[in-house]
Amino acid sequence: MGKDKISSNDVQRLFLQAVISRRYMSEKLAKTLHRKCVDTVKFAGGLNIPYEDTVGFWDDFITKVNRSLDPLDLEFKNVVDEVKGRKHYVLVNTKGDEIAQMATDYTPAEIAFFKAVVEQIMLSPNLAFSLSSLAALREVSTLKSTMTKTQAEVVLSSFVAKGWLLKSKKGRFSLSARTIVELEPYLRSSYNEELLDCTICSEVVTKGITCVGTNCHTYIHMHCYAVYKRTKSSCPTCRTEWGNGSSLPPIGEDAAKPGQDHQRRVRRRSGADGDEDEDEMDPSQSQSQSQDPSQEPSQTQTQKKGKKKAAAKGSKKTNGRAAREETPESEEDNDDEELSQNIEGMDIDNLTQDKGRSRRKR
Amino acid sequence: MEDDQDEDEDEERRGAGGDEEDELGRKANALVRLALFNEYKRTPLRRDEINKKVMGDQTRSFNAVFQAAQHILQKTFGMELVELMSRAEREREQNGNDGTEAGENATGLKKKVAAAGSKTYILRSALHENLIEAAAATDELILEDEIMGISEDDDEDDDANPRTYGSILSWSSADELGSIGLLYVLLALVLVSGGVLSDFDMKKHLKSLRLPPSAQVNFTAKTTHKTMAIDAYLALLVRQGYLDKVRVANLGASKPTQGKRGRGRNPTADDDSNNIEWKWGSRAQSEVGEVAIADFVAEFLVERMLHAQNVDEESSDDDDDDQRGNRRRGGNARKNGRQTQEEDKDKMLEAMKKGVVLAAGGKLNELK
Repeated sequence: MGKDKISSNDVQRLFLQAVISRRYMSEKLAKTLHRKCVDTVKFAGGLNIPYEDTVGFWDDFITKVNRSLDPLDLEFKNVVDEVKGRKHYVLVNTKGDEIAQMATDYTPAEIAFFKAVVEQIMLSPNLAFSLSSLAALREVSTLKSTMTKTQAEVVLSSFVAKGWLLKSKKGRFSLSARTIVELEPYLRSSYNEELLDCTICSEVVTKGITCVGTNCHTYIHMHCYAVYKRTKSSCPTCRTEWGNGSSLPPIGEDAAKPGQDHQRRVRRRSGADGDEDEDEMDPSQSQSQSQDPSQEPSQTQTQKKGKKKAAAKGSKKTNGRAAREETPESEEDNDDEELSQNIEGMDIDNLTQDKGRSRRKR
Repeated sequence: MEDDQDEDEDEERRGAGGDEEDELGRKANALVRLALFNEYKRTPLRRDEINKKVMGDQTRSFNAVFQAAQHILQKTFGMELVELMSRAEREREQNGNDGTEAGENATGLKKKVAAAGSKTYILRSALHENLIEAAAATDELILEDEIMGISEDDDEDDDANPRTYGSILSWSSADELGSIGLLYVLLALVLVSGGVLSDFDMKKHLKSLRLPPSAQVNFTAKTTHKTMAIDAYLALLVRQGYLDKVRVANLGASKPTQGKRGRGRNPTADDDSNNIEWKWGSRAQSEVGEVAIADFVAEFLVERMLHAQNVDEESSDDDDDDQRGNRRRGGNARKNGRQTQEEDKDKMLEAMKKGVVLAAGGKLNELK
C-alpha cells in the first residue's frame, strides 16, 4: 500500500481494476474511464502523461491492454449489443478450464438453472430465441434441486441484474450480449445447430431478421440490417427483393408465437450424437434443413455428422453431448481451432454450406 | 515506461528457452487467473487449493510460481496476493499491544509462528493510496455515462440496477454496499471496544441499530438472496474472514486439559452468548485495516457534529428574516467562521482519532 511511487504504468493498472469492478460497460464509458485514469495518475503522481481523444490512441491502448491479458487467457473484447446496436466492452475469459469455474458466486444449482434456461432459449421454436418467464420458472421443477419457484424468481432477476439475461417489456428472457460473447464457446459446442451467424458481420444473431425466401439461410442483426438497407434492398444471399424490409420475418421475441412456450423442448441426450432430436417439430423451421442437422431425416447424414465431430474433436470424446454436462464456464477442450473453423465455414459461403460441411469432413 | 516494458518482454523471451521456465510461466499465469476469479467469491484462497488447481504434483516449486504470479499481478493489474495472519499471529499481535516487553519476550516464538502462516491469501490493490482515493471519488462524466448505460438497457425496472456513483472503481457494481456499510460499523464497534466485543454486547449494539435477531439484511437484485437473516450474515462474514467468532473458556471452569468436562459443557456453552466473543477477522486486518476504520469513525462523528452545528445556525438565521442588519452580520460571522471551522474540524478530527485509538486499546494495527 502506497510504498511504490506512482508511475505512468499505473494508468493501465487502474483501468484494468476499473474494468474488473464492472466487467461489462459501454464503449463510451470505457473511453471515459481511460481518460479519467490518465487524469488521475497524472494528477496524483505529478506526471506528464499524453492523452489524445482519437480512435488511434484508444485502439493502441486497447491493443496494449490485450497484449498483457493474452497470456492469462483473458480479453477485453468489443461487442455490439443486439438490442440497441451499441458498442460495448466485456472482460472475457477465453479459456474454459477448472479454474474458470470459480469466476462466479453462483451455486451449482443456480448454474444448472441458468443452463436450463439458456437451453430453452436456444431451442425455442420459430427463431424466437426467447422464453416467457412462466416457462423459465417451469425449468426449476426439471432440476434435481430444492430451489423453489419463489427462489427461482429471485435468481432469475439476479441473472438480469448481473447482465447475463435480458428481460423485455413483454417479460420474455433472452441472451444478453455479455452472455453471447462470454459463453460463445459453450453455445457453439452445445447448440451449434441452433446458433445462427449474421450474414453481414458473422457474429451470433438472436435478434434480427431473416430472408423471406423459404430456402434462404440469411440471418442479419437488426443493427447490421439498418446499415445494409441504406444502400441495398435485396437479400445478400439469394437476391430476393426485400422492399422496405417491413415484411421480413423476425428473429427474436417478435418471432415467438402465442402459446409456443406451453410445451417444454428437450433434446434427448441418451443416445449418440446423431440421435438428437426435439420433442416438438415446427413446420416453419423445417425450411432450415441443411442448417439444422438435428432435423435432417436421413440417417446416413447424421452418421456422417457424428463422424465429423469425432474427427474434429479427436477420439478422446466420442460422445461429446453426453459428456458435456459441466457448468457453462467449465467447457473443456473447446479447441479454438474448431471454433474458428466453424465461423469461417459459415462465413465464406452461406448458400453452399453443405459443401462447406463436406469439405470439413475430409 | 516503454523501456520498462521492453525489458520485461526481453526477459520473457529469454526465459522461454527452457521447458522448466515455460512451465513456471504457465503455472504463474494459472495462479493469477485463480486469484482473480476466486476474489469474486470474497473467500480467501487456500494454499491447498492452489496446489490442487495450479501446482499439480510439483508443489515444491510453489515459491517460485508464487513469486512469478505476484510479479504479473503487480505489473498488469497493480494488485498483490497477501497472506492472511493466522489466528495465533493475530492473538500475539493483540497481546503485543499491551506492552513492548511481552513482544520482546515472544520474539523467539514470533519467528516460529510467522513461519507457519495461515496459508490463505486474498487479493488486494497495490496501487498508491492517493490513486485509490482519487479513483473512489465521484466524477461527473463517468456518472453521466453510467446512468446513460442503465437507462438504455433497462427502461423502467429501477429495482434491477443498483445505484452508481461515477467513480473509476465501481464499488456499487463490484460489492454489496448496504451490507458492507453494516460490516464496517460492526468493525468500528469491535475496534472501539478494545478489539473484543462480547456476543451479548454485539446483540445489544445490533438492536440499537434496529437489527434485532429477527431482522434481515437487504441486498441488491444482483444477489440470489435479496435478504439474509442477521445471523446468517454474521456467519457469512466469519466465513469470509472479516469477523472472528471466538468461543472463550468459562473462567476457571473448563481448562483444555479437562477434556471430558469441557466436551460435556459444550452444548450448553453454545447457547450461552457470554462465552462468545467477536473480534476482527484476518481479512479485515489485511483488507480494511484498523487505521482506516478509525479514520472512518472520526470523520463520521466530526462530520455529524459540524452538520448539527450548521443546521442550528441556519435555522436561527431563518428566524430573524426581517432583521436584515442582523442577517448580514450573521453572514459575516459565518464567513469568518468558515476558516475557523476548518481549523476546528482538523482539531476535532485529531481529538476524535485520539479517542478512538484510546478506546481501541492504545495502539492501532497497521494494515497487514
